Amino acid sequence: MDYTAMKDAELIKLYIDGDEKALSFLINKHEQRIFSYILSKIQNRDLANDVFQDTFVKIIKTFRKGNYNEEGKFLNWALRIAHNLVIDHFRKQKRIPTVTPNDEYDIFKIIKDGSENAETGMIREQIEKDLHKLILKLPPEQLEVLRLRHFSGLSFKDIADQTGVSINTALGRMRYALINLRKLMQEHNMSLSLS
Amino acid sequence: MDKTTTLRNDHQVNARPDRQTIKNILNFSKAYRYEKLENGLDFEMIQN
Repeated sequence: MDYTAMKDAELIKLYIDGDEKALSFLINKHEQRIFSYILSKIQNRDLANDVFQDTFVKIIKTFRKGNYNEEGKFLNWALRIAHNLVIDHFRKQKRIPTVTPNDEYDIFKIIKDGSENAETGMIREQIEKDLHKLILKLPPEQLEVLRLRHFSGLSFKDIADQTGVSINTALGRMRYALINLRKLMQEHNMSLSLS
Repeated sequence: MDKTTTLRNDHQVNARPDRQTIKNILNFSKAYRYEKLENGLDFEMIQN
């Protein structure tokens, strides 16, 4: 069987049907793109190997559970998994301080220049994406108030005028939108903190 | 990093994972078992 000429979907189907060799060819076909992406973000070869391995463990589990349905777009899907694992890596890293500063010497004060570094930027981007997904789960009237207030910057009076309700109702909807958003964040184990 | 690795737009290109990492993945694949039972329960295990 000529695995090298096969498309991703064919290799994946063979693998799901029990052909381990197909997985080997699938990895070989895409390892450079996926690993280069991970390494470009993490800048540490050992850690990049760990994240690469975790990426394929997730991929294998998804295949075996019959949850894969991204026909023809394997690489994009795999890169998304790798991206999320890179984010997880940076989140974990921020929770584990590797240097303990004291009163005399605080490395973090020295290196902190106020600008957002690549890791913080990636985490912020991910948080914004996650938050956007959660906001879409809100009831329409709460979603509308939240959008008008935070994304359009309208006052509650303007929101009330635009949506045809009283200011109190607009305020109430905003309050419930925030309460519901907090609940959704808890349900999805989401944190808005960058640190 | 292998010798063919170059830097382009801050991205390493041509970088490949260690062969041991690939072996680990293939070994995991061979050992991983997933079963879904008729009653809706499912389980996963690593078989040595």
